[in-house]
This record gives sequence, C-alpha cells and structure tokens, in this order.
Amino acid sequence: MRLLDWLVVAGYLLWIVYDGIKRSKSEGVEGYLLANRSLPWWAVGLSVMATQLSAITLVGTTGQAYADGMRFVQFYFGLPFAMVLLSVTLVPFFYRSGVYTAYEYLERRFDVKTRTLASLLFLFGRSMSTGAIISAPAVILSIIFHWNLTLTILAIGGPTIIYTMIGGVQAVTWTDVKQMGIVVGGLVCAVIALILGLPDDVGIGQALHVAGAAGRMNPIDFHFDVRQTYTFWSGVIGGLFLHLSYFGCDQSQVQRYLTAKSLNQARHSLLMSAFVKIPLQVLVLMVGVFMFLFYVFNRPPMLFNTEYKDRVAQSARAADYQALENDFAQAYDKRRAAATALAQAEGTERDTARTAFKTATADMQAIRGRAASLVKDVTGSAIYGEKTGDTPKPDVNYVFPTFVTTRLPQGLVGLIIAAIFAAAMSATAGELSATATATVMDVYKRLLRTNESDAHYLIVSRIAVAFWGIVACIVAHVAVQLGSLIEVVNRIGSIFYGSLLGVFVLALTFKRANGHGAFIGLLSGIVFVVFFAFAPATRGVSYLWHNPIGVIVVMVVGVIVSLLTKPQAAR
Amino acid sequence: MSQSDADDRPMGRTYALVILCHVTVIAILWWVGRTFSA
Repeated sequence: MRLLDWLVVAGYLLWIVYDGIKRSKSEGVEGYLLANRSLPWWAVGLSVMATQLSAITLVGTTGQAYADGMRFVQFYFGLPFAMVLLSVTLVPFFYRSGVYTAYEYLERRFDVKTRTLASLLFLFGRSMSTGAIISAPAVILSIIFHWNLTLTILAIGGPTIIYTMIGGVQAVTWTDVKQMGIVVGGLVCAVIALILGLPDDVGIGQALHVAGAAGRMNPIDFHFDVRQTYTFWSGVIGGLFLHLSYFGCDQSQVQRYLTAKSLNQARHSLLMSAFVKIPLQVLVLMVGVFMFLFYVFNRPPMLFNTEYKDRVAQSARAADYQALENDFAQAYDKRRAAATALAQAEGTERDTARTAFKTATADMQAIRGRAASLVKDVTGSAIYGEKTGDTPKPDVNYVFPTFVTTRLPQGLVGLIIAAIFAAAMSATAGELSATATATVMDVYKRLLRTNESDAHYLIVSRIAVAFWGIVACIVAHVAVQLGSLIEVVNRIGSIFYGSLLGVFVLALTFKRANGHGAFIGLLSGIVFVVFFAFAPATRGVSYLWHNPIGVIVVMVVGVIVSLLTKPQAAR
Repeated sequence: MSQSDADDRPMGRTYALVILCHVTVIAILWWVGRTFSA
C-alpha cells in the first residue's frame, strides 16, 4: 500500500469513529439499545444488510465466484419468501409487545427457562462467530501486506468497540448506512476496473461466453441433491428456513428492525432487503466472474496464497516449484490464445473453439493441481488437497485481495481495503450491540439485578459492549491458532438456528404448547441436529437442511411434551 | 390517520410485488445462465 491508500484507510477509520461517537445521546437504555424506536425504514434496511454482509462475504464470495461461478446466489433464493412470512407473523408480535430481545417474547409466551436457554444459545453462537468475522479478514490482510496479525485484529475490533460502546444502536445503524455505501462503491469500482482490464478486441458479451464455457455463468441448478448447498431447491427450501431463523430468531437482526419508528417501517426494512439482497449478491459474484475473465486475459499467479508459496520457495523443492511455474506460463499462453479465439468465434466455430478452450483450461488447472500437491507435501497442509470448483481451497480467499493489491491504481486500493474494513466492522458492530442487549435484558436485568435505575442499566450495557468486543478480539486471535476446531464450534453455533426457529413456530402455531414442551423441544432439537450434523451416515447432508430438521424435531417433541404435561395458565 | 392505523395498513400488494420481483430475478438469472453457458 502506498501513501494515498494509507490516507484513504486512515480517513475512513477516523470518519466512521467520529460519526459513531457523535451519535452518543443521553437518552436512557431504550435510546441506547433501541434508538427509542425512531429510525426510518431505509436506514434500518441498510443496517439489516450491513450486519449480514461481512468481510467474509466480500473476500470469500468473490473468490468463490472466481473458482466456482455464480451458483452461490441460489443460497439467497428463500430470503424474499422468508421476509414476507416474517413481516406477516413474527415482526408484528415482536414490535407490538415492546420487547428488547426476541427471547423476551419466549418468556411472555412460555417461561423464563425457555427465554434464558434461547438467549444463552444466541450468546454462545454469536460470540464465536463475531470472532470469526474479525479473524478472517485480519488473517488475509496480514498475509497480503505482511501486517502484524494482532494489530490488524485490533485495527478492525478497536474502532468498532469504541463507537458501538459510546454511540449505541444509533451509531451502529448510521455507520452501517455509510459502510454499505463504501462497500457498494468499492464493488462497483472493482467491476469497472476489471472490465477495463479486458483486451480491447474482446467485448463484455464475448467475455461472458468465455466465462460460460469455463462453467462460471451457472446461476441456476435445478438438480435436487441434499448434499449440495448451492442448488435451486436447497436455496428455496433450506434457505427459507435458514433466513426465517436468522431474521426471525437472531437478536443481531431482530434488534435492527425493533429500532424502526413503526411496525410498517420495520416490515419495509426487511422487504428492502428482500428486494436488494439478491441483486447485491449478483454484483459481488460478478466481481468474481470478471476476476476470472481478467485472469484469463492477464497472467494469474500459479497460487494466490503467498504464505504457502513463500514456504515452498524456501524449501528443498524450490526447483520443482520453479519448473511448474515455467509449465504454467506456457499453459497460460495457450489458454489465452484459446480464449481469444472463443471470444471471437461465430456460429458453428464456437463449439470447436469452446472445446479447445476447455482443454487448455484443464491443462492449466492440472499444473495448478500439481503445484497444490507440492505445497501439501512440503508444508503438510492437508487443506491444499481440497478444492473449491477447480481452484485449490486455500487460494479462494486470496484471489480478490491479490487482484486489488497488484492490479488496481493508488487510491482505489485504499478504497477497497476500506470496504473490507467497513464490511467487517459493520457486521461486528451489529453483533456487539445485540450480544450486549441479550446479556443485559435476558440475563443481568432479568436474573441478577432486577430493580436498578435506567442509568445503571445504561452503564452495564456499555460495559457489556466492551466485554463482548474484547471477547470477539480474543476469539479472533485464538481462532487463527485453532484453525479447524473453531470451524467446528462455528458449525455447532449455526445448527442452533433451526431449533430456535422451531420454538417460535411452536409458540405461534400451537396454542396448547407450554413452557416444558418448548424447553424440552428446544433441547431435543439441538441434540438431534448436532448428532445429525456429525454422524457419519448424515454428515454429507448440506447444513441448509439442518434448519427444517431442527424445526420439525422441536415441533414434534414440543407438542408431545405439552400434551403430556399440565396446560399453561393463559398469558 | 393515527400511527396505529398506519401500522395496520394491509401490505398484501407490497408482499405480492416482492414475490413477483423475486420470480422475475430468478427468470433473468436462468436466462443469463442459458444464454452464456450454451
């Protein structure tokens, strides 16, 4: 990074912290946690999307499209249906009951043990995932720029903790609005730069035919296969339940729309996401597809992850790696020629040109595969044996940062790095505000200190934000060392979702359901889904299907236990 | 009109518009895939 890039990133950080801090108003705990339910729908809608869009989305999803095409977009096909269903069902319940957290509603409907269990599940899952939200971009940026990892984690986490702690949910929402602007602006600039990087004699339509021949223009797959996450049916059915759970039962999202100034404004904020999310995701994926095309016509590195490449270059097998680099350069020249021929081919010539391009691409990927095997042998890193699409898995997250840092002009590099920071910080801020709210309202105020002043709870809320922020930074640091173990913890966290949704569905659809049914149903759902996710026979089933399974188990157990136990007094 | 009246205003047409737009987006994506992958 050069001076102008540093100035852009530093300017962004100072501006966001200043903007967040100036939102600080002494309005009491409702103002701090729910903005006194005063925010307009469009700001809440952007905040909803900013909380969901992390740096992992920005860096990982562009890499995913580079390696595997546009199929990832199907993950969001259930989202608009979920938003409509939530606007009709849970949102009015939450908004009219005046709750601070989604789990508070469970106490009003069932009992305090069900509320506490749901809230603790949320706190456990979210504290782990917030660490991952910070650690993923920190690791990538520290490798690309040779930055100190701890300082990178603090550069993302520190400012976020400060403005969230001081400004509360007002700061979170209004900084989210600006951060979404920076992210979208960065993505649009990246697409323009990538298109300008195509050769003069290759038009956009011709280039997209080349991408199609390499399997990158594949947004819809109608095959039904429960082992595949990115198919139309997994997206519509599994994705529907996942998004119902995420937007209906996860406090980090529920808190966003509880800040809206009216019920219909809360609904509009969710419907805005339903309208905008898929086009936004297409924009992210198109960055990946155009990166693929850019590297068809401009020579890519054989491996993008420089950390592994450097270790091989310093090993006894450096000469083998260099020989593969030479083969790769020749294979690239052949593929570039084949791609140019395909782009300019017309009519029946196109089939022949397509076959030649596919063969040249396969040759190039075979050399890349041999390089990955070499890295695996030298470093002992088993993950270099895995692939995403036709690309070695550890390379996927490094494609976009490599393109940005090696191909973009001064200033634009700073903007994209600021966009990566913005995505990480906006997602983190939403999580910190939500975990603090659940801690104070569901645990501290409900179970520990029930009759304190508003000022007391306001101070405790600020301490809770700082506490969860520090926990997130520690988890982020530990996550780097633990590697796959933290993935397992995150996976367990994500499989709570279906069971949590099941409790809310039970509450809304079965009048006879009682606290014992809900509590035992929730526990049974979690145990069953954890077993299902890790058992050898069912481990291959995509995690999207864990959500409907969790809902069904909670409903079945909840109904049976409720019928076998005493009915609950009317509430 | 009071705040609660505005809150309770039916949003059926908005929901229908969301679903219609979503189906249209899926159809466009399907067409794009078919056009450039063929």
